[in-house]
Amino acid sequence: MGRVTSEISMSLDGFITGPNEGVGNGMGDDGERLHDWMFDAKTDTDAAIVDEKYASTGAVLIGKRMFDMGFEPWGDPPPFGMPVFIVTHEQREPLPMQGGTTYNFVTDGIATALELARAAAGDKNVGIWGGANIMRQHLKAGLLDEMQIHLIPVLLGGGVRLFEDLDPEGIELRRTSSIETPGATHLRFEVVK
Amino acid sequence: MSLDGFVTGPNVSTEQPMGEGAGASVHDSMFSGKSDAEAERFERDDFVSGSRLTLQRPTR
Repeated sequence: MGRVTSEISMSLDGFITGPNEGVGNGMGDDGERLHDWMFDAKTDTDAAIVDEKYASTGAVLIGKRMFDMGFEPWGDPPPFGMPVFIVTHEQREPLPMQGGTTYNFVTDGIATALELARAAAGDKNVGIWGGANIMRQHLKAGLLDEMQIHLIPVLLGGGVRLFEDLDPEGIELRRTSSIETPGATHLRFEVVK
Repeated sequence: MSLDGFVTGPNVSTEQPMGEGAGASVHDSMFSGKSDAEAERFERDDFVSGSRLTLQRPTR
């Protein structure tokens, strides 16, 4: 069975978006700087990290807010190419897109969503690709095996904090790798169980 | 600085200059005369893991 891994870019001051994030400004003001390492500043090492992420992941699990903000900018085909499970309160039929992405809406909580995502992923990993809230919920519930944080050397000064109000009781992380590129320090942590 | 961006644990006071929880345990390990083995474990688990970092250098 695959692992459950989270993956996100975070500024040095702890934000995964800039200030004023919302539909139409999904990454917040200046928040796109968090993704420079995947685009303008991309090196072969960064590219290999992205490739590995896609190759090892069989299904993606995201929060509803991230879906709402991402749906339009992601377009069709969306940048997943695999089943995507969205934790939401709104009942909705699965939405097949081009290129292998299907958006599936799960209304009975993260545990069920994770179970469905695991089944869809087969031997590959389930990727928790955002946002902050869904990652914290999985971390707190002991459902995460691994966290990947791309630490970006920028200060955003506001936005959504990855670890906002997270009670650290019972959570221990062990760093398993650190890869430095000009645009990011790619950190990998095992969640100690 | 911790991964979640703190340089101390919660509730810093003159008695607990590194705050509570991880901050306090970091302070203990570094400054109150723990054994070499414990200090070594601290360095391995906390510094090397990158999951915690502290305000000051160890004085041992």
